[in-house]
Amino acid sequence: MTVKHILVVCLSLGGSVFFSGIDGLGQSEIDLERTLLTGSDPVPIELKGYSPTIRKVLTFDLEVMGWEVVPSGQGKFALVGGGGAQLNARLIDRLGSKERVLFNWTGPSPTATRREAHFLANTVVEKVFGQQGIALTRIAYKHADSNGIPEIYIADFDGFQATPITRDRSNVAAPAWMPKELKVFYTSYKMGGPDIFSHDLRSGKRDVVSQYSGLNTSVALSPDGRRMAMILSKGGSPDLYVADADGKNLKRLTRSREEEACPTWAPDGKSICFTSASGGGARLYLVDPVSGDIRRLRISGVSGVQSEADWSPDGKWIAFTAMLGSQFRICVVPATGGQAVVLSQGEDPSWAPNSRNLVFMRKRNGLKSLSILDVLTCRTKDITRISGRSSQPAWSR
Amino acid sequence: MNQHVLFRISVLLILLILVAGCRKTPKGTTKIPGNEGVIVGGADPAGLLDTPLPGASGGPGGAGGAGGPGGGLILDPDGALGSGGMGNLTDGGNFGQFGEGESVLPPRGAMAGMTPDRETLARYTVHFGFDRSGIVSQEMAKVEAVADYLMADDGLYVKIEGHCDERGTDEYNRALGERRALSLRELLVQMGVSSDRITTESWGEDRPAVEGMNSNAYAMNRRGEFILLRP
Repeated sequence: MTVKHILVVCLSLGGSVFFSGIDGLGQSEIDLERTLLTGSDPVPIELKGYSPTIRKVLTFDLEVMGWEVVPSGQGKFALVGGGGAQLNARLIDRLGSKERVLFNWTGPSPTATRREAHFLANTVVEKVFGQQGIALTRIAYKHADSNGIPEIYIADFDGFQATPITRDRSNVAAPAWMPKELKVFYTSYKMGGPDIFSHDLRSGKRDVVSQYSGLNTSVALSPDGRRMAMILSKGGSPDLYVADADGKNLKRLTRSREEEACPTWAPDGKSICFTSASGGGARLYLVDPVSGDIRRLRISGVSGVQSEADWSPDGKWIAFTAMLGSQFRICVVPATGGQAVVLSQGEDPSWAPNSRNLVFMRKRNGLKSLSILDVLTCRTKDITRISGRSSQPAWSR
Repeated sequence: MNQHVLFRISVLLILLILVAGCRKTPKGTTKIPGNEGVIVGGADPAGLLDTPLPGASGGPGGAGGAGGPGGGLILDPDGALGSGGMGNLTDGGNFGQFGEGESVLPPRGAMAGMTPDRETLARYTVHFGFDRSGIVSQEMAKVEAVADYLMADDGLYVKIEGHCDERGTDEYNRALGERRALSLRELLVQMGVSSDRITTESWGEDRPAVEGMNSNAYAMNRRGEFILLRP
């Protein structure tokens, strides 16, 4: 049950921040479980010599990934640009008595681009924390613009470059990424009911991969991309099934009268976590997709209905939505079960590839929009909004 | 069972009187509600039930095939859940046995091209309790009325749309909406409507009947709507 999470620089204890240095000067292990309970302080960094646009990109990216951009003179680190059109960066470490330059970098384009700024933010995170940056990842989600008709959208992880990939003008739901590919699966009602489509984003080619009578929805691709889990009702009740990613070799995993929903795969592909109302209210269960053996995921610390589980890419955590009172909360529990930690208001969490950030939906004045949560600092930031309602985010990984 | 049939006949008579003015004259025959329990996949372990209902899978990559290794779940609208499921369940859930199972629903597209009529049966929209898919007794007369209407004209089909309020997560509600629609379908079948005339479609919380974040709006949005389909 002890879950160790390597964090190279910051270790938060009782509010004071210690830095253990870098470049082989020693790494501190942080107990993610304790950090989840107590919170961890973000690391202060200054930004100098960047245009407002680039500064905004860097600020968003760094603050999502464990940093806090602070006024001049207050940073433990400083990222210094050249002030010109081209993107320059010098990362300065002020932890010791003497400043140290950690890297110098110049962007390839004559004029700085958002993509280069994302790359720079990733480099800062990787260099100092030793963690994978997520600033060049994408999200897929459901978005209804002012006409109210939802379509599937793809955007950069910060909400920029939002582009609809469907024009079905019916209803869509529950996008899911094929791991390590530019391919998204989702539900569309275009063909006269909720069916599951696969959609290659390079070629634009779409295939219907599940079109049984009744409900076809909540698709989740296995980590090796070969199988998919989904919810079908063709057997007379919404149940959990698995099939090859093209729809062949269908297997039914549950046959309860009450509904199943929201499957997510363990990264080793040997277990699927899903929601079922078969024991009364909605709770999380684990099923072995080969043997069909099912057991309850033991969760303490939160009562009420649980759904929308998402298994972290490192396999250690399951994020889910719990209804506490009349409020939805984003929670995280060890994948082996145990104490759940409530992180934020919101619904439908999806892990970033770094197993540290979650993108999730929250309702404000009844309007659905997307935010990003840093599980370690417990801070949230809203992604850039386009007018309308955004929900059901899925992080590429 | 006799009490149940008597009750049904009396309800039907009342409903005939109530709705006689607004629909065609019923045909002379009325199907006797039979033992049309739905077997989900698998063999019939006790040999007590009818054969699985018609309806092939419309899915790609083939479907159907042999069911699970015996067992199976009997869907019983009265709530007396008969589970043939053994083995895999532990710890609170009731998941039955492993196996693919067959489709018991009409194939996707079986009613494509039919003309939808959302008005005629709109008054019979059934409402549900929070996070519930069972039909409460006060709503039963509406289902009876729909069964009555459909049985009076064999040429009519119906789509049942299941909907939820927003106090559930999106995909859980999509499953719950389908469960609600299927519960209504089971009742209609039990009342004698041929199962191949009834299709279901869940919209989850995507199409609320009324906007609003109060208990009245929520109650209005937890519903099953009957859409008449005319070939």
